[in-house]
Amino acid sequence: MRHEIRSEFRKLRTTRTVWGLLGAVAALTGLGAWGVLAGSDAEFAGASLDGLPVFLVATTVVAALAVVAGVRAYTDEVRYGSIVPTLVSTPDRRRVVAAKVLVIGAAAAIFGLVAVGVGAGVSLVWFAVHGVEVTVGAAALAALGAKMMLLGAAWSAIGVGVGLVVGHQVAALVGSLLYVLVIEDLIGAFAGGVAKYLPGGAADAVVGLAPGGMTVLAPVAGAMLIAAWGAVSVVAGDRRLQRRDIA
Amino acid sequence: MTTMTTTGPDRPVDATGSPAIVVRGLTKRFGAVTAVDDLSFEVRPGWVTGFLGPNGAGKSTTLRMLLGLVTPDAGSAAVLGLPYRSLAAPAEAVGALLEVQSFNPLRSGRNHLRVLAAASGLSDARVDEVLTQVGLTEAASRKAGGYSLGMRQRLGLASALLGDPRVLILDEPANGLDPQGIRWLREFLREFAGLGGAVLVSSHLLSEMAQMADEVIVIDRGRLIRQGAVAEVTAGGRSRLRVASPDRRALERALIDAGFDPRSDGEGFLLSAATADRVGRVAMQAGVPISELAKQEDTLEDAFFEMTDGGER
Repeated sequence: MRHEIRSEFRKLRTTRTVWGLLGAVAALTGLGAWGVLAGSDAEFAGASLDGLPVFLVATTVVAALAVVAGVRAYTDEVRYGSIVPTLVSTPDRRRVVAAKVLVIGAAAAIFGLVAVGVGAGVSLVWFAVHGVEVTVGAAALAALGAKMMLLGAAWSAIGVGVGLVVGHQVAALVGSLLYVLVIEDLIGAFAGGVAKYLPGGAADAVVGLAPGGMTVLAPVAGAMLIAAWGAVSVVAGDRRLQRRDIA
Repeated sequence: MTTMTTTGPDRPVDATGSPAIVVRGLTKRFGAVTAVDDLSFEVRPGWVTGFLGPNGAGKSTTLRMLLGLVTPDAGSAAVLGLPYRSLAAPAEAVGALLEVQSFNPLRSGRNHLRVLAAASGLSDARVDEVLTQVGLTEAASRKAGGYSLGMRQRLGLASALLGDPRVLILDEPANGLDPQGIRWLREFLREFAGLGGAVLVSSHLLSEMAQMADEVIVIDRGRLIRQGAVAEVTAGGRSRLRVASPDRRALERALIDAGFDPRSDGEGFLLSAATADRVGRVAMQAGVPISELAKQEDTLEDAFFEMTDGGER
């Protein structure tokens, strides 16, 4: 596995794709955080930084861009034809899948960390500008960072699986982004009882930020659930790749 | 295999040892189309084996089955005695070039090779070696998306050579190469085979294959038509006579009267099953002047067209 991981890491490092995604995470989280604070009527004085709705934006941004990174792991290779030398070099396809999950997962975990850092930083600037005193719990913020890293990794694993199952890049990207940004909210609106078991519901449970008073699972249960969603997606993707003809 | 220059054709005298590639009853259907149909052949070490067939004959699908990219519906394909996906160190066993474009265009040529080298546990120093070998060192730091067709082929060849393999499987490698590049490829493959390597190289360009290969496998519509040495395959065809006259119509009439079936070929005619002696006599008796009378050896191309119904669909 060492070789495959090294190869996947080089794939990531030798184009700017992942940097672009990381930049998007930072920019969208920063803008989103500012917008949330500026548009909110809530009284933030004395609030704890890690509990701010700012991080709801961050969870969505991390989810969307981690899924994109995951989907692209396989579908970029199909699009450019590099899947042929990849699978000729490593005929054991399971290793290729595992290496992609690990390497893209690590990158997406960094997305999560950056989102928390940018979200916290922008909030602090906003509060400073507006002269609002808030509590900065370093330990709580670090815990949020760790949770968001887990979410980034899990969402990217879901993306890797979706990319492998769907194969077609545009279809996989559009489908998975629609799901993250729209479809899951719709399911929540029509079948609220189910929503907490879906990946997005599980992600909200992990960070303990329920949008609109939605009921969520306990954080640990949420973490296990979204990890399970990631695992299911990867296993399905692996099974599909095992049978796929690279013609 | 470490230099680009070769000392000319080095045809193997005998091919000993077990075959490098063994294909048995290989069959693949895509929906209603049978792309490869009960195909069997062997490729020997020390030989350059040409894999010939019209476009759509099933060459690429066969090579993909050999490399474990496509799963056959029936039959087996083994490289060095094992199915490709069971090889312990595939890059050291087989070097493959399948498509002209098989890299992320935003990655440099060198980085593309480094990605593959890492996957096979090979060093970056080896990457620079193969870049030198294919003459791509100067362009190695540029994004591969900007490469010309010939440079893309060279990059593909470099990736095939990375693991210093014993078998080369190349799909249309001459495609896009300039005449110098084709000559280099030919000499390179000769040397590779001369050192005991096995080469399976596909092409639909017959003239190229006639110069490159020791042996050819001809397939059409997914089926094996013929496997044999280039000389054998061409010897199976008939030799023909080309005859021309300033008085083209008189010549044609005389030939038809004498029982020939003249086929128009530019200014003159092509005759099968004819001897120069007899045609000369016919022309003299009819009083038709002859401006050309030459025996035409059947080329691989002729043999190929005869075998594959003119390659038409």
